[in-house]
Amino acid sequence: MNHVTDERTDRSLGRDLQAWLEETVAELPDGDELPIDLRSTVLTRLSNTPQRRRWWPRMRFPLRSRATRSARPEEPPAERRTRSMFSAIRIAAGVAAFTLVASLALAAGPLTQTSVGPGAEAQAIDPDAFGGFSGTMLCGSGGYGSTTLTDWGSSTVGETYPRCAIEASDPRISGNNYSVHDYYRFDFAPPYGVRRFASVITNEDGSWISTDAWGYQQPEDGTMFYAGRFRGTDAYEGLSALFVLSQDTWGLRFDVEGVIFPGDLPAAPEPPIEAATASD
Amino acid sequence: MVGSDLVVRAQHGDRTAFTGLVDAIGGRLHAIAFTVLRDRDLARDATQQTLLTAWEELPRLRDPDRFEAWICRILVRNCHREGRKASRWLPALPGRPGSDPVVVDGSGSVITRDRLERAFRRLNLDQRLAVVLHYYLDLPPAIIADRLDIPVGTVHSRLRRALHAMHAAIDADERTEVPVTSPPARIRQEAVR
Repeated sequence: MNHVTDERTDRSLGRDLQAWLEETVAELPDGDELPIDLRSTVLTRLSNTPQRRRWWPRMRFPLRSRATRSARPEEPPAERRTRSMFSAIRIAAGVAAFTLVASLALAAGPLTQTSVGPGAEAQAIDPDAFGGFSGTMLCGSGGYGSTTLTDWGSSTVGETYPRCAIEASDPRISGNNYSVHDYYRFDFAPPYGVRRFASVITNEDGSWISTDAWGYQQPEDGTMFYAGRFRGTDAYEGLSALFVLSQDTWGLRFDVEGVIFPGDLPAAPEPPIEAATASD
Repeated sequence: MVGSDLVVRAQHGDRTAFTGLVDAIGGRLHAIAFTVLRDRDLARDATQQTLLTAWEELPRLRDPDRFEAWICRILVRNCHREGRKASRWLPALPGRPGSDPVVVDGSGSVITRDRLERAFRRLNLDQRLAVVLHYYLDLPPAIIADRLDIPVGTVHSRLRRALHAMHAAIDADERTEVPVTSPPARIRQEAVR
């Protein structure tokens, strides 16, 4: 009997609940529709919110072999893969060259007397200083700069990205990033662009300042590809970093990878005149 | 029912398609969030975060036909987060003097909006979700279990405990409040089955 009474009162309360819930929704200014301003906010923020597209399996440090990369079913399209492999190979070549130089130097004498390029003479090399990193950079909106139209497209100076944040596997290179870009846009079909930029990465321990950084726009999908060399200050004094950033499909999220190393790059060699002559 | 073709297009970065999804399901999400959290600001935040998270994470959704269940779980997470963040919904609503009784149950006894509101606010968020999905969206327990990713038996027990707790709260309210003397307006009778 009690059970029957409970059921009846539950049904009764259920009906009351249903009516009450419907009324509370109906009394909202937009009823059961999404509020217009909320819809607008969501759609506006959407344009600055890239989708997360499996950037993590494509972490390129430690470097994977060609076979491993091609075995992954969710690899990027061929154009992007070619470009990424190119950048990975380029960094790998730099790392290998540096390792070779360091090994030769180590073989030649005690560590403390090793010379690692200009500006690093007589400095000890901390083995922990060296390291590859990978991660992401996420940017907020920035300033558009000043654009001049030309016969071939446009020239822009002072485009800013003041609110970028880098999260990398190496905390030394993580931090806030501020960049200023100058670029040319060529309005051919498809359009593409090239740019140079100055950039500073700052965290609690020090900063990284770009000394030579450039980028270009992928003609096929409009995404950006950047590379740069940075020098450390404060706690990172005496260190350099090579950076490669590739835009993740679209939006302002970038894959980041690179390497931190002591000293600086070797001076650029003279152009191989004999080879150039032979090819003429 | 949201079209899976829209979901698939949105998964590939089609913002127009996602706008279609927002229009199709956003209002319902907002209504759920509001009825559960009982606060417009919290409901807005939970809904906004849910839609943005859905956009970000959509490429990871394996089965487009499961979109509604998937986004409902995101909403549940965000409701929990907003609830924790604000904890404004936890205390029972203080009585509002002079508010009209608007709901009449089948046995003729009067349950005022305030009593329902106060009783509902005594429920924890999991119980509220079960109640809202069942009584507002009219979803059967099996579907609620799917939406919340919990066993069907847990849905039944949450509903049972929620109703029991509300009964207890309403009874306690009746004992402490001055009885309503004027006859209540019998509104929304069509909602009474």
